[in-house]
Amino acid sequence: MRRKRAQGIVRRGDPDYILFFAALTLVALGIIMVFSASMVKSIRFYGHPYYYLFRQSLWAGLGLTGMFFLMNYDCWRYRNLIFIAYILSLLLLILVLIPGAGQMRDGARRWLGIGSLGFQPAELAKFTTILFLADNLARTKEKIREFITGLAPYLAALGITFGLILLEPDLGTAVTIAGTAVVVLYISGAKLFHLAFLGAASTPLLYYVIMSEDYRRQRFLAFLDPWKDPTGTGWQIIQALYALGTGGPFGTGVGYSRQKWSYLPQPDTDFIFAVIGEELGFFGTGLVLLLFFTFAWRGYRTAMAAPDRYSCLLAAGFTTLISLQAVVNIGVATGSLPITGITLPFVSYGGSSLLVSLLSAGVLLNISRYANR
Amino acid sequence: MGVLARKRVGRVLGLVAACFVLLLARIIYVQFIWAEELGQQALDMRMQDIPIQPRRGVIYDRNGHELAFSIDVESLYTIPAQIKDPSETARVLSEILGMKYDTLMSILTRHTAFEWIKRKLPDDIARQIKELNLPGIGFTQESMRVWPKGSLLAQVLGIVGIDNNGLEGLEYEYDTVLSGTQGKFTVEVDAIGQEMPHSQKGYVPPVQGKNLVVTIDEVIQFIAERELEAKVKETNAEGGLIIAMNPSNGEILALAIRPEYDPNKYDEYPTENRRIRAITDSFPPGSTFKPITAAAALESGAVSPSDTFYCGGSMQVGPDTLYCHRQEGHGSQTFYEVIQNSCNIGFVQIAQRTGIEHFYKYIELFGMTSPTGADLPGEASGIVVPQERAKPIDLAVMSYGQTLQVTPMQIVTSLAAIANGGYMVVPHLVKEVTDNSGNVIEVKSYEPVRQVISSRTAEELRIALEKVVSDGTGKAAYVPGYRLAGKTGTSNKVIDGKIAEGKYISSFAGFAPANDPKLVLLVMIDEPKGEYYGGIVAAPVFSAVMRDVLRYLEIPPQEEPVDETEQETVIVPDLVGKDAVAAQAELREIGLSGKIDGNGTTVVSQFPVSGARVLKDTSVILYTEDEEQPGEGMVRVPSIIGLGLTQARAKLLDAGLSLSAQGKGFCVSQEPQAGSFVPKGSTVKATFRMDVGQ
Repeated sequence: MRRKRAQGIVRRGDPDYILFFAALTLVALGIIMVFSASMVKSIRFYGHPYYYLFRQSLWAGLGLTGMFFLMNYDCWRYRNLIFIAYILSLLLLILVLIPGAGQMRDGARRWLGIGSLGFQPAELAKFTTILFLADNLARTKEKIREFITGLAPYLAALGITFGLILLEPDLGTAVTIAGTAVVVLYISGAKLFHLAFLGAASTPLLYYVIMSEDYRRQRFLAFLDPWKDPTGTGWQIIQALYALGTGGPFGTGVGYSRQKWSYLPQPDTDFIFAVIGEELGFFGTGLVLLLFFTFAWRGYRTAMAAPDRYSCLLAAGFTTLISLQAVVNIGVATGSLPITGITLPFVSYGGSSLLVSLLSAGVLLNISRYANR
Repeated sequence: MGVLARKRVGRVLGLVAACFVLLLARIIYVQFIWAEELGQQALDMRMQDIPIQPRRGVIYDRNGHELAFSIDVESLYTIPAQIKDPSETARVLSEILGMKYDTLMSILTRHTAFEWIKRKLPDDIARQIKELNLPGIGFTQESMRVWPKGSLLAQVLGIVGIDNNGLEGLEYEYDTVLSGTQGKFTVEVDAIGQEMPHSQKGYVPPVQGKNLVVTIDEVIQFIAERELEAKVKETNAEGGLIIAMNPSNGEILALAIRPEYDPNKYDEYPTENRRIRAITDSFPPGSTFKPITAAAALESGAVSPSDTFYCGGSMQVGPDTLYCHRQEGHGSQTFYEVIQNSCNIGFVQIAQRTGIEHFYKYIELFGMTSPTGADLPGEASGIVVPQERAKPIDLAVMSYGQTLQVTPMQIVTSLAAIANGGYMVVPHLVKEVTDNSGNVIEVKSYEPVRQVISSRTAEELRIALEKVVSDGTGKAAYVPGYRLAGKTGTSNKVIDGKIAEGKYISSFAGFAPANDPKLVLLVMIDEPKGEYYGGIVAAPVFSAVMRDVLRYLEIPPQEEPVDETEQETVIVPDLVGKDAVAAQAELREIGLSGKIDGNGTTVVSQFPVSGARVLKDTSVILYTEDEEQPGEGMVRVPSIIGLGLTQARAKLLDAGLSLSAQGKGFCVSQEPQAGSFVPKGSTVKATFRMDVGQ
């Protein structure tokens, strides 16, 4: 590839503007909705409504800068740094587990703190794992069809990442990474039979992980019939459905959500989709769905048109990462999936998540500039 | 880039697209189809109700005098989540309300949306708390029941609970009419219980309760209670009752029961004082039952008024010997004389001639075996030996009112049938139901149930009963100038199914005028000490009540008074236009007493009217009314002299004033004086003392 670029065979073109604007629109919508959804909480804890808006805008600015940088800094140029970045992210995942280094919030040790600015190593791991997979799978080529010599080393590496994140615990992120990785392995040529076997083998493990922890089991079961315990485990799902129902087709108008008044838990992160549904109605939820679909469509299209194996896997990986999170988050907010605690990419409040989403978009956009047209 | 990879990316895209389609379907379902139900549920969850109690209807006497009404008072509630500083709030409130700090703390820190702190607060205390403007503390209006006449008609009126639900008496019987429907104020709150910005609010106005106009005449009731009270005290009796009924339609004009209670503070009295004994308790009627024995005999044709009966002082019925109250016997008597003498032996013979079958038929027709249907709760029916088990001795003893038990109301109703020409009427207490503006919504009229005896039989019995008063055992019931009919009664009390020796019920039942009865009256004195014969204990009470009531009803005397009683009489002075309190003093000087009715200070009319000759110690009722109109925002201070604390407070609240009381008991002085004008919301200072005679 470097050779081709040097020879001027592949010319750098414009990025995929549809992808570009889909991401930007989601970020813009996110800032507005984070402001609206966090207002109640912000006033209660900080006395003014702008606390979360300010922080989200700051991270968006940082993220957009990163996106523009990666959009123009070709993805091949940092390929030799990928392994170091991957090892570094694993070290950070270990570091966060050490009491004192990692901050404990809501019963989980997920944050590495620098003052009031917290950062989640697991979010970084999403990014580095995809880079790591794409880089190595591009070299492994056909050998991935072998289980022992091809697939197994990847599964071992992924198992370490998965296990470390699970220890925080952060099941949602762990499953996101695992899901994305499986898709990347599949695209890189792994045998479907192997992956299916892997899935079958991990199902009991996943079942055990869910059922062993009391709150996970209850959350999982509550999704099946939230009205069985409407004020307990079913509360979050019911309140989210109330928000979507209150919004109906047309919504209550921006700022006029009723459910964000302490009824809906985490209205600015996990359940921001419900707030969008309440304030903007089906227009809002439909638009969000359309934007994510557009992102997926253009992202996979970029992967298909990518100039080499490395960039193809990279594009498919990041597109899957974003799409998977969007599907799971929206599924949870509409009561279609059990509660997992996965945020809505680009939209939900949260610096690490927004930054990683925008960096992913930056890489994608960069690859789109080299599409075989 | 391999073909395989490209193909697989395409498949992944397809899978992701499928997920989005499923999510889209789910969103459409939730936001279009399910939305209305979810939105409504969500709104119901966020809306919080604050109840608004309706105003309970007023109970008026037949002439529009208030017997029970409700006033608006403030009730204090809390929404615990809104309280900023529970301990400080509890401290402040405990000071003002006089409640324990710990009690308040436990209420204020409860994890509920709504809690009462204290209900039905006096105005001044409510205002004090309102001025503090404490967060999480609010007021709602509730109504408090007031019975302005105290113990007058108390058992019949009944009481209400804290939620204004009728618990006894008419308050219970007509609860659905009086209570109205609760309204509410709703407001949208957040999950912490605080009102949200742009919240939705709702108001459902309460439907006010309807008013009752009862058949009771306050004046007749007052006369009955006065005479009953006096006799119960004089004879040191356990209690007693008086029922006055209009025989033509069954309207109860008075129903006085002793021992009494004050519904405004009913918890200070024994609960049995609240029983409406006139319908809930049955007694052996004794001789007051004899008119029914006589009626059965005449109507069935077994006996004619010209038949004679011999009394030798005793008589053999099977193995038992029955005695007459006159040991030497009454000798040969006509039918009328048997009644006049109240001769037991004569009545046994009358009943024997009638026979068990006819006797029972008339007991049933006269309503002795079933409730009268009076519109009061808890009515009992009589206790009679079943016909199939009745032996000759039962018939004999029943003929003079022993072994069987009936309620006083059953006696009155049966006597009314004799008085009105043979018709069984339904005794009742409610005449009309009216709405807020005084429009009559419903007129309660009761048709006679059946004719029991012919008008001719009734006529003959009236003649017989008139002789009881003019020449027989009931002479003490006589009222000069009027033709009265009646029957004495003295019966042994039955306690737990056994005759209680030495415990008697003295009664007198009768009506007047004998030729055209307008009023049936029953007097029962329960366990008088000393003299116990009905003719001696109950008949004078009957006479005293009849005398005043007949005059009050303006029923003209039928004949010149035969003899003026030996008691001293006085002429009632003209008191109209005078100050009520001064009028009372004037009456006291000439040996009469005055009772003020109404809120005014000046007498506008009086009863009896001036010039009437009345016995000493008679009460003159002084009617007062407001004749001046107070200025804007000004109210006239009513007189609370002589009233208890609760009544005084209620009366002042009604006038828009509050009370600052010193001492306990009855009001002896007030400042400002009654009749003066003060701004609405002012406080009247009053001193209360225990030893003021009422």
